[in-house]
Amino acid sequence: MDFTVVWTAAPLIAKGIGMTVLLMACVGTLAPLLALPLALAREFGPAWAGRAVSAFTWAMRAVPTLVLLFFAYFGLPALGIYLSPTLSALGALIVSAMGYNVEFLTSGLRAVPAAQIETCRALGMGQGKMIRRIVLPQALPVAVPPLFSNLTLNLKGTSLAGLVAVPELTSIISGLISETYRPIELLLVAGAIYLCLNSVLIWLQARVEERLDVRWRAARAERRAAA
Amino acid sequence: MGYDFDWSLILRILPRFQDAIWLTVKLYLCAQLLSIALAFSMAVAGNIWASRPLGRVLGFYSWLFRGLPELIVLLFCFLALPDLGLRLSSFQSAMIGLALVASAYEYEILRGALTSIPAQQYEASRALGFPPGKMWRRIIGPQLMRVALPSLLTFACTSLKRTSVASAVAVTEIMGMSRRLIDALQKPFELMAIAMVLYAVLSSIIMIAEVLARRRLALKSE
Repeated sequence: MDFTVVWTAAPLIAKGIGMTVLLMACVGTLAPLLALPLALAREFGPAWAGRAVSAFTWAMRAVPTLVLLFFAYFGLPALGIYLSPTLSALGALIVSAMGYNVEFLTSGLRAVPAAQIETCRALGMGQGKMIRRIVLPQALPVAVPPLFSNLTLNLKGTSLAGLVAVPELTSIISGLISETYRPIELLLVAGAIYLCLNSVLIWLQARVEERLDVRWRAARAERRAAA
Repeated sequence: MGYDFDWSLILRILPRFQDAIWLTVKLYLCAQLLSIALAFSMAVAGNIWASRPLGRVLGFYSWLFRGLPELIVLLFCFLALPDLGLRLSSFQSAMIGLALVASAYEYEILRGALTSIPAQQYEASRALGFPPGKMWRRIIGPQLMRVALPSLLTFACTSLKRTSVASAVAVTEIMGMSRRLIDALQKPFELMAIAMVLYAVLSSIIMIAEVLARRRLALKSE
């Protein structure tokens, strides 16, 4: 084995890592944010909205991410929508992740006891205020662990974007393989990088879950009251 | 927009997908069987010889293959293994790669399910003189599957979608076929629509199987 090929290509690989991290950060923030209104519409909106959201999540969970990526890359220009490869891949990854995120958020919303919602209505609290002050603070801690686990899957999903001309880590690596014919070294390095990125995500998940913990929030409230 | 949709193309082209559909089904079934066999042997071995080194090795295996992107694993099987002296066809490397990734997740499901079986069940079977093989088949296995099967089936749904990655290592399953035809016919919209519908239909079949299995496995409380 000879890892010099990796050193000479280090700047290129670094760029690929940057693109992978960027894709993952965008998918990780935008997909849950866009999924939240859909989950709320499904639970608290009219019946037709609930059915539409269910159909959407079913379709997104039934179709492979790779098909969505190709659809965005080849299909959207056919519809007259011209985006850069990175933007269209980002769109496909977000829509694909949303299918699962809506389900996680819905199950979080359903974990809020019905009696609390009835109490809010009995007290004459508005729908918006009820969602903001009563439902979400209880629903989000339930939904965050699966959302984060999904993020590690999303990280692996970004490797597919390389197949539709996005210069992320995997596509850089496969480009280097066809240039240098050193698949073993390059793929080992790519694997190690993905495992490192995954470990960072898992570490982040532990921190966020700690923060959402009721005890941590109670301690913070006490500190603030004392200050 | 100057794109004219050729809906008749879908009907004309659909018969050409027949082989690709079979290849997807074959790849899915082979990878699924191999991964279940791997995951089951690992979970049972980890349970019988509960030694620390073996636990570490299994833990590392599962961490590794749950952490790596499928594409990287498949490319490694397809490009790197031949350099290491193991010649595989593209179908074989896709099958092995997919099975390795899936077995890591299935191992975790089975390991979790095994912890739900109380130690008394093993002790009682031994006290009654059950040989190990019979104990696993008749006592532990049925209880294990009741807990593990719903999660395994949910995971099996996602495994179908993962077979599409095999198109990247030159397997002409549904996705690979669509990519080839896009290059040849320049009709991306129609071809991606075909691929979407085919995957949705196949996924739905597995989802229905999942619902039926759940219903069958539910304990009758009377």
